[in-house]
Amino acid sequence: MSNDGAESVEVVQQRLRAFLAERTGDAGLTVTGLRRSGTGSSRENWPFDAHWVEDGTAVHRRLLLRRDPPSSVVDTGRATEFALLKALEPTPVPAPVAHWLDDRGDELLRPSMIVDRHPGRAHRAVLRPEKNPLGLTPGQQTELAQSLCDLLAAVHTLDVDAAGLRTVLPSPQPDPATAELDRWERSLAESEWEPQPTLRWTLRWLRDHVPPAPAREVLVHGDFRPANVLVESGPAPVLLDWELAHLGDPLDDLGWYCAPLYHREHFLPGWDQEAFLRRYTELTGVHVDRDALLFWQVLAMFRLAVIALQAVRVFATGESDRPAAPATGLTRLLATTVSDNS
Amino acid sequence: MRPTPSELIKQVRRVLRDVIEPELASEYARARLAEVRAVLAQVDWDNAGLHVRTQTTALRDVLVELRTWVGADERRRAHFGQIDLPEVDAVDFAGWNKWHAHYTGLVASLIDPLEDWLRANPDDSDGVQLRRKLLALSAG
Repeated sequence: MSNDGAESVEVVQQRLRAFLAERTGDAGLTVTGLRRSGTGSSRENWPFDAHWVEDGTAVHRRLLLRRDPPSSVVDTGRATEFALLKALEPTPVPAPVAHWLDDRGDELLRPSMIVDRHPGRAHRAVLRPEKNPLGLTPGQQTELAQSLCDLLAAVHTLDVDAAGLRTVLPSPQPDPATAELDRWERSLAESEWEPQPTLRWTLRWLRDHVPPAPAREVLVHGDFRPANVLVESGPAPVLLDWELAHLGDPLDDLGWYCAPLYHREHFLPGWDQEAFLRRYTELTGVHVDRDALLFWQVLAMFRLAVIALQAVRVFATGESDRPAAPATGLTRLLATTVSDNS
Repeated sequence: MRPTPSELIKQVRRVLRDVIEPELASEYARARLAEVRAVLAQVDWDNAGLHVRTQTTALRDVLVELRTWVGADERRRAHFGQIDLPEVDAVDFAGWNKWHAHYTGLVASLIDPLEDWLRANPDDSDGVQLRRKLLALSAG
């Protein structure tokens, strides 16, 4: 976000206190420890604690304010995400508990939602043996890597009708692959500062290789990777960041997770892509067609390239204060992939 | 030219790490500073202008090759139509950058005709080779 759009911690705290006091009915509610976290690209994250009295009992909650930045690299609807999190509460899918929504930002200055702040840390390199930011043992890393597969299987085997998700998320039209292609082509058009032949060529390749619709539409997380899995001490994951969730093809998440760019972050010696896919099929019964997987892997890289393009654009125009440089390596990888598979 | 741009940037990064970062109390500011340092390290400051010039020249060369390939076959001429390749008249970074955008735009406009041609003529190895070259050069 630009400095022009930034509010001080004091201002946000004041608004937040008033917002929560009204919702909880306790005018004496206090907000402590509010700070702006360093993480979050499509949302600002503001952790804090709230203390209030409810029916004569003191309540203390660890909470997280998630606000839209003035300029987001991914255009998402927070009302949809909020409704989805509410729908997921009674299901086995471990998602954050959502409490309150200010959809238009009337009270919290920007569109925002408040969710539980779960213990633990999420880190994109949590599975990389040489980095190991959470200090897990090799055994814990392998166990966590396998549990991520189980977690994705739990998301994909959720009965979307029974969970009422069709009232929250639209059915992709005319089919999941085309719907995602249309969505990301629109994003490319919005962020294409100068012609991007490699991305346009990739788009053409994708249009020429659209896979058949899946036998069953599932809940697709849309950004499933270790960076969005909260780990406390070993494998007890909570799946975060549902703003890109949609109904669609299970291979959508698999292509994202198995994108070549992510291999070093998502797999371990003895736990490679094939092991991941074998376990996934055992758990879900979903056969992973390799041509379809390639389509979704290429679409994943295309999405990443478009997001990178958008990030560079909003930084260069001063709309964002998250520095970003052109993702040339990713564009070269796409060029090679399209050449080799045409 | 000493110091080179990259030598200056290297020292700017050092100051950001050793002097500025320890003074930052905000987690958010520290995270942004780390990104600033990363982006400064990512860019090839010494060769930015040279790179765009080399890329533009190479792209135009392949487009000339493609125009020759199109012109050598009547069916291809009819399929692709006329391909105009004006001479580059740039003298500075902005000029070369403008021509780079011009030629990448031209490549983008040739994607569908070339793919349609190769779909109908999958054994046209020269066409396949031109696709490979254009894709590689367009990627930067």
